[in-house]
Amino acid sequence: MPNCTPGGTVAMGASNGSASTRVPLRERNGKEGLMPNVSVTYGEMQAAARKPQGPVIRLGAARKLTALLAVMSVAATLAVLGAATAQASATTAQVSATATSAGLADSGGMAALGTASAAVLATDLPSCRAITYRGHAGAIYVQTSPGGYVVWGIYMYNGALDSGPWWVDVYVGKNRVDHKQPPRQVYAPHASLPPKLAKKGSVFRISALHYATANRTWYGSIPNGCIIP
Amino acid sequence: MAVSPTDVSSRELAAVLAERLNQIVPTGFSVRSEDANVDVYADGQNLGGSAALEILEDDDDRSANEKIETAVQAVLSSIQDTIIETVKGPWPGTSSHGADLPMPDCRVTGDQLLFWFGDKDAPVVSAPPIPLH
Repeated sequence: MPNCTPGGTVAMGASNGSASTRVPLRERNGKEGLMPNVSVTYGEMQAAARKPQGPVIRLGAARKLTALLAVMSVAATLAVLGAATAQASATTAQVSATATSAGLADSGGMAALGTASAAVLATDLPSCRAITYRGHAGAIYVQTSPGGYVVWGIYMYNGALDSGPWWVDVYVGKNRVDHKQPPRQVYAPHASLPPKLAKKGSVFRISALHYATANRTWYGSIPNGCIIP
Repeated sequence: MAVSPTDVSSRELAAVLAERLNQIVPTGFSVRSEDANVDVYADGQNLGGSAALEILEDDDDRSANEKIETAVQAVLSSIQDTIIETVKGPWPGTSSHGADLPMPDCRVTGDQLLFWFGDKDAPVVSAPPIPLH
């Protein structure tokens, strides 16, 4: 159960998953350098930028890092976050219920998340190779590396809203394969899933709930899901 | 401390895993557990960690061993990410193949949970097995 002090309303982004390529995103990052008032995420970005590359961590070496960096770069570029997603897990459902009971969630909010995700058919899902699910407040970024890792990150468009507790569940098929929660998860969540768990042909999806302390608002993930190539 | 593979306690496993990880993290870092959470600390500050061992409590069609391996893999990956982002460099070192980052892996074999970073046959670093009774 969340131990944060809620103080806003539940907001949910509209589902708008769209496939994208990594190149345009990187280009945008390099040309625009949008990171004005992003604190934590920007710091992570800077740290990531200094991670050993090339001779120290080569391609294969950094399958994980490269992907992670890519996701983080995307975050830096867009300066944000977003999202959230799909099927309500036990954890997020509990949080959602709490928010609702506290009078924080308005109608559509969290309840609609589970319903919407259930309507997503595997046959309609895109590849996880490079896809972004954009909500009105942030986005979920998913990419796969040549080595078979699935790397993901969730960032608010306004980086200042990244701070605050996050509850995140990651699924492959119907099984949960990762879980993040406060108090250790108080910054934009990101991680990678190894090939061992990221089984080809399986559906990858993320369910997240976030309370942004900056504006005291709850955010829930939009429906998402992709097929691991 | 031993952990039961058929009645897995995420809390017990978190404690043992933290103990093992404490033996291999870089100087200045420490790993602690709290309930099912495993976190990295430095200078008394919680740098981040994982709550993935909660997966052990999931009621699904996976075997206990599968859930252990999945959850531990997620924890190890998260711990590695946390340290890498903090030291701004690879950890734990580079693989025997050159500059490759040693990826975490684990396996339940018999009555033991083994985990390591790098190739299974030539790990860059590994920890003492965790007995499962």
